[in-house]
Amino acid sequence: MIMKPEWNEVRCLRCVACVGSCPTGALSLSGWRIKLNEDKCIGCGLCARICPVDALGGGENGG
Amino acid sequence: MADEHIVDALVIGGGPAGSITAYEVAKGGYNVLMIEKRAEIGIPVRCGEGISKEILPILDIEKDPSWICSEMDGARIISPCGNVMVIGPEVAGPETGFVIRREIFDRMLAERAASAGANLWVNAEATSFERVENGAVVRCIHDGKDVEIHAKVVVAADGFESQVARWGGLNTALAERDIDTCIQYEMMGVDVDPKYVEFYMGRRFAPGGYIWSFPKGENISNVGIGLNATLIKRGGDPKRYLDDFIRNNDRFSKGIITEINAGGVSVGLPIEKTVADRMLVVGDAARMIDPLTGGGVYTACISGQEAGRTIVKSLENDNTSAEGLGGYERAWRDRVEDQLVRNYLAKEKLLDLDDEVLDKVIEGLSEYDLKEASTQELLKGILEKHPELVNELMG
Ligand SMILES: Cc1cc2nc3c(=O)[nH]c(=O)nc-3n(C[C@H](O)[C@H](O)[C@H](O)COP(=O)(O)OP(=O)(O)OC[C@H]3O[C@@H](n4cnc5c(N)ncnc54)[C@H](O)[C@@H]3O)c2cc1C
Ligand code: SF4
Ligand code: SF4
Repeated sequence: MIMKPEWNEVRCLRCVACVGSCPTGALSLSGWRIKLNEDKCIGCGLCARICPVDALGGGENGG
Repeated sequence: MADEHIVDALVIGGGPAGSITAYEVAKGGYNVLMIEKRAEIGIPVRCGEGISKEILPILDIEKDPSWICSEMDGARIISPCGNVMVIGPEVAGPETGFVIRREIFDRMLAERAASAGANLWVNAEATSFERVENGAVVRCIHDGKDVEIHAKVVVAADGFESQVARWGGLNTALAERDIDTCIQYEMMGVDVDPKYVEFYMGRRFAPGGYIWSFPKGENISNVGIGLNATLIKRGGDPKRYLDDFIRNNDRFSKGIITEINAGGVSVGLPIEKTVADRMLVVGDAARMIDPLTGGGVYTACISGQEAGRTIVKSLENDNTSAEGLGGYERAWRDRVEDQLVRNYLAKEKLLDLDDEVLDKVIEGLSEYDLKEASTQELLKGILEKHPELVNELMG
């Protein structure tokens, strides 16, 4: 299953756990926003699952 | 056209690793710039704020109450069913630590670098890295303006994000098993012993990780959790587990949360190569965290020191190729690698223990008269009470 993250900017704590964990380097924190490089994302879902506050749609808040 | 800026060394990231690198290079008399993308050094805090007291002699700094909140006597380790093992001052020795205000500690280190002559830009985000003859060019957005920085050597000190090393062709990807994600609260009105840190172990509390309470004074504590990525079922699990723990523990449930922070921690081995042409990788960016405790400030400081000293030598020799910078790789490994490998193996073991075994381990240790906090002594203590665990622990 392909699962691309959907960033919830209000929940996000800018903790960069997702950025450092993404296996392909598809995420970055730039100008206080989490940015997704669609070309690099392989939809593995790891970032959404490990976000400590469920700000990428991997828990009750989304997927 | 982008503005141009020329320096000997550019440090990307203003955490402890970056500041100490910049300090050493400035002290060596070279022109160094440190850029930090946040508007304020150290904020938000991404740290449990516990560090070893050995940090003082290593950095050659004095004890300072502006960033040291409290000094620990020891630790209590609590098993899933509630068995408690106490590590008192006589056993813990210098391994016990300080609980600090990380944002002030980081600021102090940045100011120390600046006082030694380093230049510092905040609100300055590096966006690319490219090698050129005799150096590298880093593009950066500083106060909203494009700037091109030319440097003979670039230091990737960008922390857990670890993008800069990738731009330089180094592999910093983490296996899922080597990722923990954390969330923590600073709480007031909690009932804690101000001289003891506490660790709650086991899957019941924190699958693949632990819950910590690091007291910052009477009734104030940094209470947090780390979970291993392989054992996280869905987004938000770290927060759910921590909230459940607090709700069900009378000593914490009446507390008030005054701050929330989160972050990722690597619990694997450091990256294989921390040196490339025109580039060094330090601290979290090189995945240099103690895999057992998740503590990374200490190693960030050591690697920053060695990186800065190597850079000074490489500039003296006018050779910032991978070969000219190679001394760094050996130097930091000599100082911390053994410890990191030992604790990596211990973490691998711990990750697979189930709660019943962990209960027995901590029960065994709580009844044993521990002489020192060494792996051998710990194993002796456990096996005296529970010899049947020999395969689980040694196999
Ligand atoms: C929740 C949590 C609890 C922890 N608890 C402890 C603990 O109790 N004790 C301990 O010793 N360690 C702890 N750690 C680990 C510790 O915080 C790190 O090991 C330490 O911060 C590493 O320092 P560093 O300088 O390598 O990186 P950092 O302190 O992360 O600094 C990196 C800096 O680089 C900046 N940066 C990133 N990208 C760019 C860019 N492109 N351009 C410019 N700047 C950039 C970032 O904004 C950041 O300021 C904890 C970590 C977490 C997440
Ligand atoms: S892991 Fe979650 S909270 Fe942290 S930066 Fe990513 S989206 Fe934000
Ligand atoms: S889904 Fe996987 S590849 Fe895509 S951004 Fe998240 S972690 Fe990276």
